[in-house]
Amino acid sequence: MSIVWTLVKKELRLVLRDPVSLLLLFVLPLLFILVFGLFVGEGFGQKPDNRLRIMLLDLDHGSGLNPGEPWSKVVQRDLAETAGIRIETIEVREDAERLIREHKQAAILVFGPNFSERINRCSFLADGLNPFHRDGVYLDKIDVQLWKDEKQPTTSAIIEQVVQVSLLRVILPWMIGRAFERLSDPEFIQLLGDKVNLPVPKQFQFMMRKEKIQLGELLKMASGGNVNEAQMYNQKVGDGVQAALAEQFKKYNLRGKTWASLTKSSEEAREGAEVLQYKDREGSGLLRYGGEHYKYLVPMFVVMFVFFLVLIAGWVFVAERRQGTLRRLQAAPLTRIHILMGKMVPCFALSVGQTLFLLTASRWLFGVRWGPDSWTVTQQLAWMLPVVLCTSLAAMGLALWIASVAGSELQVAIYGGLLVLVLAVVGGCVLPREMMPENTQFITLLTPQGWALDAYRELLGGSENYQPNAAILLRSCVVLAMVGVFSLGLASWCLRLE
Amino acid sequence: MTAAFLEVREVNKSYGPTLALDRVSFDVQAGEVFGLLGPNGAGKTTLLSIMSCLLEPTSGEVRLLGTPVAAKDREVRRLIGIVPQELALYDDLTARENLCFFGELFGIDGAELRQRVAHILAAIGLEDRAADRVRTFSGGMKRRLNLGVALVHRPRLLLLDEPTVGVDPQSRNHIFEEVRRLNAEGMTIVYTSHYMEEVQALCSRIGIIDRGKLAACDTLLRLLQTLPGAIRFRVSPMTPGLRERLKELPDALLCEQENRLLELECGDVKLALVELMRLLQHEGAELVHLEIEEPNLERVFLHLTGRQLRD
Repeated sequence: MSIVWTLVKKELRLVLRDPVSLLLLFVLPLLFILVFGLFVGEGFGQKPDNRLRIMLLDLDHGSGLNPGEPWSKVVQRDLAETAGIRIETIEVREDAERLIREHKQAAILVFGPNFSERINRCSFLADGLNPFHRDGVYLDKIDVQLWKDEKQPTTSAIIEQVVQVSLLRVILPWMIGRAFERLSDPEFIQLLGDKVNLPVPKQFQFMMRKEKIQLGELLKMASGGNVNEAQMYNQKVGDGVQAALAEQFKKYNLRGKTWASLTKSSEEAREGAEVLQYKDREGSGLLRYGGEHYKYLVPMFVVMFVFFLVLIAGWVFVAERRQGTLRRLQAAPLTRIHILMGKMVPCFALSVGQTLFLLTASRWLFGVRWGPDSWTVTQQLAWMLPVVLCTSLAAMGLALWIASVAGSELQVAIYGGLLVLVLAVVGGCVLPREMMPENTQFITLLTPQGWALDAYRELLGGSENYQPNAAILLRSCVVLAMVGVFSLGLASWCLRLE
Repeated sequence: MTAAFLEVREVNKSYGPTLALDRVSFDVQAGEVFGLLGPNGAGKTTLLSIMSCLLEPTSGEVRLLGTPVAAKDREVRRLIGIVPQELALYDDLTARENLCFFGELFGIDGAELRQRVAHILAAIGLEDRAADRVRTFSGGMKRRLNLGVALVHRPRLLLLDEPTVGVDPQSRNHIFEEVRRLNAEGMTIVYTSHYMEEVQALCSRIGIIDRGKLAACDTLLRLLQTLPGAIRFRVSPMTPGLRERLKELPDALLCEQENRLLELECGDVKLALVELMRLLQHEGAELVHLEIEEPNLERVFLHLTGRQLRD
């Protein structure tokens, strides 16, 4: 055991004193994560969402159609039910301002605090608020703003049109419904009674002493001066008018007040429409700490560079053979097992150390989560370690296999480089699997990198509440361990110590 | 009759159709410096690899202290120290770390290891560079450390494979001194080289190897005695009487060459020269030209193999 420890110490010393190895194992991966992290967008690695994203800042606290529910919610719902639209609400005004300032959003719809009150005032009546103009709705009249990014005029214009249509769909039925309700109001019947002049038949003209009579006068006559009866007749006229109009326009519910009710299209309302709350997925600060894209980048580059061990181990082994120190080791009282263990253990330790370093650095620098927030660090480590160990086992196996078949540094670079890069590309370390065509995604699982990515993504790629799937982790660990053991067997068989 | 310290018996080694060693046999006695002289590719390194448990012979046997040397025998390796032809050192470790590492592989540790390492560093003249990485060393310093590494476990048999290739004269002398000191302390040494002068200066017995075959194996003196020396001279006046007397000189053969140059082929050049001078004085003749050619290993090698050592 002490002999193996002596060999391990020596090997670790050599690697840790080699600036190229340190660069390749520890610095380069972080640099890749950082550089890519700065350049790729928040949606990196996810299935592209081609829907138009409309962000809302809702400052409306009034009450609208339904008691306690502001009109802004009705507009939100209408937008969300619009095909091809993704709605996100922003809680903080400063966030909204920043998104526009930083050109991250083309336009943001802001409902002012008086939005509900203004909508409630919208009416066809003379004293009502008329929000309409030739092309749609005056936003300022209803306390709505549309903040636009000057650099994205096309998208913001599209958003404005969508918003205008939605506002029309909300305001117009509301106004029609309210107007239709007014048909039974005593004031309206009074007005109707005053405005409708009916001809008096000749045989009654001597009694009325006039050729025309107002409808109101007729109703009054019919009630015989009884006020209650007069009101009842007025009401009947109002109801009659409403009923007649309803019958006349029976395809519509003129008292509906919402677009769906007005057009009797409730059953056609889109299902599954959702309003998401805006979350800053881009990350904050210079390093974009907490950015959503790191959930993809960190596993990708951790896995990719863990397998770079193939090159380091290969070079160290070939150098040992070339320098003649391998001969010296063989001349010492060591067994083949000692020599193999002396290579395997430091390889494995380096790989595990490298992974833990990268994961810790990623957590610290980029805010990458190691599992749900409800887990303690110990729990997170307990879930993470099997994945780290199995991935390192696979990397070590491949490393020793390459070292065993390569006869020179050049061969290590060619065999190892090809193996590492091709497997990394195929395994999804360069292009995330989610961005590949669905019918070719299975190819990633032909590589150990693909399995390792599956496991790391399960742990690092979830939200704060996501519970990793133990079955996926277990399956990945088993496959990686098998790759490791098989490669080690192959390496042991191919290894040329002479 | 006691067995030799190291016995090499009928050793063959072939790589496919290539015969690297062809029935090589010799003995090395305890405490001697045995030289293996031969050109590059003669089979010296292969032979050393077999002696140091790195290679199995195709046939034949090597015994150390009566015990067969087998590639899988870990114990016999503790008795052997090998100085490979290449600089088998870790460039990114310091001189001390290299020595400690190889010492630990032989199970030496703690104070004993520190003491041995300090002793070796002093012996090879690298005390003041002990903490420096080997990559900063000159070729000569690396050669000295290459030797030192083989000594940490205090082997009884030291195998040196061309230990002075590419070194400066100072380091070369250092290595010679160290070899002599180790030998004086009782260490048995096998020294391979294609430098005749080194073998001649260090070794008490020499094996001459060429194309995998041991052409000769004996003490330096006996090897040299296999070839005659030569004295070439001109005298004045050269009389017929003097010519007759010269022919009668003991253990010498007179040949006449061009331009009145005479050559005396003799087993012992020094003795023949004394006799020649005495004769010329007696005859009143004057020596006007003198060349002496003593036998050396180069000539012995040429004589035995039919080609120059550095061919």
